[in-house]
Amino acid sequence: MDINSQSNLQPNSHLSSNHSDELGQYVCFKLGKDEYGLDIKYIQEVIRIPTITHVPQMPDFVLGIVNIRGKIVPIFDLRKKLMLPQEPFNKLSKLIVTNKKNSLISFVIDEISDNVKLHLNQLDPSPSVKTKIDKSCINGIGIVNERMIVILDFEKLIETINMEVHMKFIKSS
Amino acid sequence: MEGNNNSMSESDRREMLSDFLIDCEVLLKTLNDKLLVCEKAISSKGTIADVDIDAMFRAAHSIKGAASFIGLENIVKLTHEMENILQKIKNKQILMEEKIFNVLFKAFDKLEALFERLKETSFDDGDIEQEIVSFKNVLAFVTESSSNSKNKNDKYWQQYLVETIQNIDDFNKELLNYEKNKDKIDIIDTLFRITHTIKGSSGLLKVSNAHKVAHNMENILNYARSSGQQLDNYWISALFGAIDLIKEIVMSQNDNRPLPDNINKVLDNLNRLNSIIENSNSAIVVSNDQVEEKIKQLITQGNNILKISVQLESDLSMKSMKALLLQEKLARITNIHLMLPSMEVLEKEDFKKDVTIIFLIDDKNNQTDIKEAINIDGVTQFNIEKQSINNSATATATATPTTPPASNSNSNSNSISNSNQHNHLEISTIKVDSNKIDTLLNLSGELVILRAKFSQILHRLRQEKNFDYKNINSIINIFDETTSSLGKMASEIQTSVMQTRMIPIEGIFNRFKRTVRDISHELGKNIELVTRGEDTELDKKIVDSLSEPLTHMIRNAADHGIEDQEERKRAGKAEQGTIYLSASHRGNSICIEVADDGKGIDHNKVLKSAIEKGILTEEKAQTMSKQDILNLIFLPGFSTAAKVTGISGRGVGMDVVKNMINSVNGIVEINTEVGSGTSFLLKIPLTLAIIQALNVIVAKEVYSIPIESVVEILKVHPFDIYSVDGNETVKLRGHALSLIELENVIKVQSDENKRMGIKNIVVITNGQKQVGLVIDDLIGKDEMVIKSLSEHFSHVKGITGASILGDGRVALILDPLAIMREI
Repeated sequence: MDINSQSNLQPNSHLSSNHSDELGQYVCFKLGKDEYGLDIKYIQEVIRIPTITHVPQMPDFVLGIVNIRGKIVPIFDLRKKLMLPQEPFNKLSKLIVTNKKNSLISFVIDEISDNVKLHLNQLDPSPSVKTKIDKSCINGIGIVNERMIVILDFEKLIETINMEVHMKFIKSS
Repeated sequence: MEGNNNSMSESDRREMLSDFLIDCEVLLKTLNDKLLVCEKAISSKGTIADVDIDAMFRAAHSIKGAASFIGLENIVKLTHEMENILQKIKNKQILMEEKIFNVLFKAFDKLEALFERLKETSFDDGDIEQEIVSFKNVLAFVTESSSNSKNKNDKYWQQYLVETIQNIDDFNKELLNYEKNKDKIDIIDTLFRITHTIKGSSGLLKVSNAHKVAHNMENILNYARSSGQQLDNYWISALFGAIDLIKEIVMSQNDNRPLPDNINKVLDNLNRLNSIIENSNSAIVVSNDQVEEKIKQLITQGNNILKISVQLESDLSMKSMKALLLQEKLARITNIHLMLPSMEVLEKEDFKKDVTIIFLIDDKNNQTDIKEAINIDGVTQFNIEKQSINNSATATATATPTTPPASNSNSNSNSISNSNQHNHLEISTIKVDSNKIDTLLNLSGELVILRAKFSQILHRLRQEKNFDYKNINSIINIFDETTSSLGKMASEIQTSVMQTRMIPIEGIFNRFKRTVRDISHELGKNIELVTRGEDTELDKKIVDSLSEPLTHMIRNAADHGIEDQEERKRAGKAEQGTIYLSASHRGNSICIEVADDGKGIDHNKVLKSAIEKGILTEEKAQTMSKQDILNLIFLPGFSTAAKVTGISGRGVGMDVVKNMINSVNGIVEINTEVGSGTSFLLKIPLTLAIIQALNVIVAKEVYSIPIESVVEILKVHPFDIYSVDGNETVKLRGHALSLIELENVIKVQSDENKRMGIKNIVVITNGQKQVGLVIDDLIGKDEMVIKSLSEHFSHVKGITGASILGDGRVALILDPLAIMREI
């Protein structure tokens, strides 16, 4: 990774000059000290964490289900899913509700930071840096000014979640 | 083309020919390969990919193009026909069914032969007439039958489908009714009207085969109506066959699949019947059954029988006199066993129409005498036939127009009705009584008024600047009132909406009358189906899901439950067996009972069979109650053991029935008495969308238990809890009741500080046994709207869904049946 060229980067100039290499807008949030980003097109809303109903027999990153305006939505602990160290929820903890083809899924995150636009040259798809989480679930590292944002691959994330849930039942049966 | 050919030198032609042969080799191979693909797809009832059809089409097209260039006329003609038919398939105008496929394959074989010939002689001569003709034939048939493959979403088609299925059901019901009360001529009118409707709408939607059949049926019915003649069983069977055929035609068009092969047979038969009617329009129909029966009887007695049918001139006066003359003349020569119509009937009739008289006489090898005897003035046509068992049925057809070609249509109609049972029809539209809609409309109007009331309250609150206690109090009162009327309205709207999903169970009940009729004919038993509570309404989805298990149960009852007539006589029972099918509301569930007055199930035999099958050990068998033993028949793997009831056969496993009932949250109970019958009781919730549930708290979470499974609620002192085999057990009215903890069975989160002391127990049942569920606290009974869980949770055991509590929290709905399976 060429650090120099990255640090000289002027995101705003790219914004106006070249739309074609725009990757999209990402909602950024924190898990511990690290920042993560999810493509905004999957995100329906960010809300306070409602009362969670526990569902038995599930892997431990599955917290259960919540009621979001009459819809029953599964809720996952993203920290646990990404194998990050555990922290209890606090006042800033939020629930990101995602929507893909009308199927809703929600994730608990520590704190919402902001949303950013990323360009192709701001994303390092195969970072040589060591990541704590499974590389297959990330699209790369987005670099915006001084911030390094781990861009999550939403589809992949859902896929591994479904897989793990499924595996759990195969093992137990 | 000819010019082309002439202007070419022989050497040019040879060169082109060899090029052509090389090119076509590939194309022929493609055709061959794709045809094989199609064959496989057809035989396995799979679908044929569009690309395959397309590839064949292009191959045929290319061959045709190249062949026409060289002037190979036969190849051009043949490939043109192939191309033609493939294009129709490609455009979905017709379906690639077996018939078409066979023609295509034959044509392809011919094409290959032509190419062989071409290689040898450089000419493509050969006779292709046959292939061309068969192309024409097959097209003539299929374009009519399935030219318009229906778009299921077409709203007219949907409407037609719903209406026609309804009409078919009605027709079956009425015809069954007629079969029992043949003197009720108004049923014929009803049947005629229904058929007419089917005919009309089928014609409108261009379902031409259904239209044709309905037209034929209409003719038969119209004939019966105008002549006042009763239809005998032969004709009734033909009508049953025809209505089945219509159903089959409509269903196959709906599913876009080819018509079954036997359709032509039934159609032919109907056509023949029709021509009989048309020929003998206004003639007296002689009951064929009666004749056939008599012939059979006489032949089995060892008589040689001649059947003579004589047709009298239509404008002959004094027909009865002529008939009398015939009778006397014949009686002089030989014995007359039967004369139809009889003299009494003939004398009563006012003869302005044709009449055919049938005599059955002894065959004394004096046919010439007989001929002389019957050849008198006024006889337009006569026919003498020697009867034997095997020709008694069909040989008469050609000669005597009024005698329908008999009984082989029975098998046809049966095979169609059997195939019907495999089509499970699911129609997603509901017919709703307009009153129900009106109620909803009124309610929604009131809702608007309520909203106005709320904004009024808000307005008053805003004006209340100085918080006068009295004013505030009155506002609170109004608010309270309005809120409660909102609550009332909400539940009213909910019930009304649920009402729109409710349909009477009548529809499937009526269908079973037909099923029982067919089964009893099949088994040669005399069985009557008595239905009660047909107007009981329940959720459409449940009605749909009931039809299959009920069919199994009724078949089982008829097959294994009801004894044959001999056995019934010996047991001192009425010869006619009865199957009762009744529906009734009981609280929030519906009870459906399938009972028979047959021989019952001997629990000792069940037990023996279970031990033989290794399902049970002897020791365990000792401890089982009668009810426990009977419940064994619901075990998978016990299905063949239905044989314990006697007749072996298609006994459908009761485990299948049970699973299907369980899938709609219902339970099955069985009661039986050896010698007097068996009854199955299905308890099913009224609707799947809303359930009555008992809400309880276990480990700080709220769980809902469907009320159907709840037997009672107990408080148990720790001293009364015994440990049996490590399981906590209490004594309840002399029976042992094992207690289960949710955390042990379905691994719910456990509560660290467990309540000590008196335990709350909810006794749940799956219809067979009971267990006590230990709960922490009881909230109460409530109506819960069931919400489905996302597929992540589809494997979770013991949970069927979730619902939202008044405070917005989510409660899981327990599945008592699954929980009891887990123990």
